[in-house]
Amino acid sequence: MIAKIKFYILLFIPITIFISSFFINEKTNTKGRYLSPLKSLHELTYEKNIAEGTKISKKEEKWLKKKFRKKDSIIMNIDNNRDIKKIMSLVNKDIITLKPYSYHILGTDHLGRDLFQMLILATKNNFILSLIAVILSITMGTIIGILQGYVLNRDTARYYQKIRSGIRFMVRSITSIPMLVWLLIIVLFNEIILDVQDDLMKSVWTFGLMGFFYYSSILSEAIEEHILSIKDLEFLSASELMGLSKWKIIIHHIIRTNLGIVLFSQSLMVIVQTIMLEITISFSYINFGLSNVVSYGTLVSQMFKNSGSMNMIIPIIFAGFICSILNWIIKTFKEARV
Amino acid sequence: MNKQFSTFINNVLLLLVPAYFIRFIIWFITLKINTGPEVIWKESSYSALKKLIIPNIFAQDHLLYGLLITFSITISAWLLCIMLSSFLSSLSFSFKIVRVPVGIILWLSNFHLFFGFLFLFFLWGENIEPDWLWAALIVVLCNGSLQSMTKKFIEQMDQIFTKRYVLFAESQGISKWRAGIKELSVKIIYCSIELLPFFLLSTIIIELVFERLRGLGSILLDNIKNIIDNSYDRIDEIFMIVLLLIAIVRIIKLISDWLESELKIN
Repeated sequence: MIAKIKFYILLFIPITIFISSFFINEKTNTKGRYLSPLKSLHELTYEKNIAEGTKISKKEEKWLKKKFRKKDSIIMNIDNNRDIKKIMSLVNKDIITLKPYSYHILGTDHLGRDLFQMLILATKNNFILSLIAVILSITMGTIIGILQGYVLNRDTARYYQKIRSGIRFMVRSITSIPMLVWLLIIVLFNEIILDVQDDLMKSVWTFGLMGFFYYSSILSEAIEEHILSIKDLEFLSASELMGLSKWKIIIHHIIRTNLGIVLFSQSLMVIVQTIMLEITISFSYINFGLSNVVSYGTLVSQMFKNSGSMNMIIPIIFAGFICSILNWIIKTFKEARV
Repeated sequence: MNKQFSTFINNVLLLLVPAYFIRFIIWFITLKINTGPEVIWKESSYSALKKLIIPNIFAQDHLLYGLLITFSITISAWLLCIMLSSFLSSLSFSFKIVRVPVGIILWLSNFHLFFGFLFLFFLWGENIEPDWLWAALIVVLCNGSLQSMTKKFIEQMDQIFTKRYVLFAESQGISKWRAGIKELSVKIIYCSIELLPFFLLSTIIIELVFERLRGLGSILLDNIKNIIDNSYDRIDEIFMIVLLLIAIVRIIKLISDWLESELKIN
C-alpha cells in the first residue's frame, strides 16, 4: 500500500510539470536581464509631478534623467544594485514608486527568460522527443520479443529455431555497438542521406531511429527473457489446449497480463536515456542536437556558452532530478506490483 | 572441440558483423558525398567493393594512442569506483545510521556526466587539470557507476553474510568478515568486471567535452564531423574505432562469463 502511494505521488510530479508546461508562454522574456536564483525584478515608476516640487540632489537628478529618459517606468533588479542608495532615497521622497514585477526562483537565462519556466517547457519538449523513441522501441521491441520468446520458441520445427537464432544474432549485434556510436552514425545518416534541415525534425529522426534500432533491441531482449520466465507456466499451455488462437494468447495472456511491468519500466528507461542523450548531443562542443527549441540540452549548452555563474549548472541539475524521479517511479512500480 | 570452435566462430562473428555493419553505413554515406578527386576507390565499382570489404588496418597507428588514453581513464575510474564502492558498501552494511547519507551520496552520483564537467568548469574555467584524473572522477561520481556498483556489493554482502557457514562461524566467535571474505572478494571481482563495459562507454562520452583528451570517443566525433563538414573519407578510421570498442566490450564479457562458469557464481 505504501509503495502504491509512493508510486502515485512520484508519478504526479512529472505529470504536473508536463501539464503546467502548456500554460507557459515561451516568448515571455524580461528584456535580456540576467538574474541569479532567488532574485526578483521591480518596476520603478517616476512620479514627475511630485518630483517638480521636491528637493533632490544633483546626483539623483542625473540618475533620474539617465534612467527615465524614454519611459516613465522601468524594470530593474534592485538587489545588489550599486544605485540602491539613490533609489531608496527617491522612494522615500515618493519620487519613485517601487512595485514588485517578477520573482525568479531559479533566476533567469541569458535571454532574461525565467529559468524555472524554461525548464518546465524543456521537460515537455524532451518528453515529446522521448515519446517518439518510446513508441517506436515498444512497437518493434514487443514484436521481436514476442517472436523470440513465444512464437518461434514454442514450435519445434527446425527452421523456426534457425530463424530465432538469426534474429537473436541480429539483436545481439545491434546491442553490442556502443550507444554513442549508434547516435553519431544516425546523426551522420540524417545530415547526409536524409538531409533534414529543420532543427526539431533532425532530433525527431535521430531519436526515432535510436528507438527503432537500438532501444527496441534492448527491449526485445528484456521481453524475451520475461516471456521465457513465464512460458512454462500452466496457463499458457491451458489456453492453447482450450483452443485459443495464438493472437489471443499473445494479446490477452502475454501483453495485457504479463508484459505491463516490463513495458512500463522500459519506457521510462528509454525516456531517461533519451533525456541524457539529448543533453549530450546538444552540448556546444558536439553541436548535433537542438539549438532553437527549448530543451534541457539547449539550456545546458546556452547557459554554458553565455554564463559564468551558478545558473550554468541549474538546467543539468533539474534534468538529473527529473531522471532520478523517473528511476524512482520504476523502482516503486516494481515494489507496488510485487 | 566442435563446441569450442563454434563458440569461437560465434564470437568472431559478433565482433565483425556489427563493425562491418557500421562500415557499410559509412561506406554508403561516403559514396553519396563529393569527396574530391583524391579518393580514387570511388572510380570503379570493383574498387568501391574492395574498399568496403578490405579495411586498411595498418594506417591507423594514431588510434593506439587514443586507445591508451581511453583505456587508462576507464581503468582508473574502474579501480577508483571499486575502492569507493567497497568502502561505502561496508560502511552502509556495518552501520545502519550511515545508510541514509550513503543513499544520498549514491543518489547524487546519478545526474549526468556533463554535470561534473560543468561544475568543474564553473569552478576553474578551462583550466581543469589533470584532465584524465577529473575525467575518471566524473565517470565514477556522476554517471551512476558508483550507485550501481555499491548496490551490487551490498546485495552480495546481504547474500553471503546470511549463509549458514558464515552464521555458524559467527556463532563460534569468528568475525563474519573473516569467514565470508573469500567468497565476497570473488563475487566483488565478478560484479566489478561485469560493470567494466559501462565505464568504457561513459569514458568515451566524457572525452567529448575534455578537449585535450584525445581518446577514442573524441577521435570518433572528429571523424564524424570531418565527414559532415569537409566531406572526407573516414571509413577505415571509424571502422577501427568501432571494432576496438566492440572488441573490448566482447573480451570483458567473455572474461565475466568465464569467471561465472569457473567460479560457479550464482
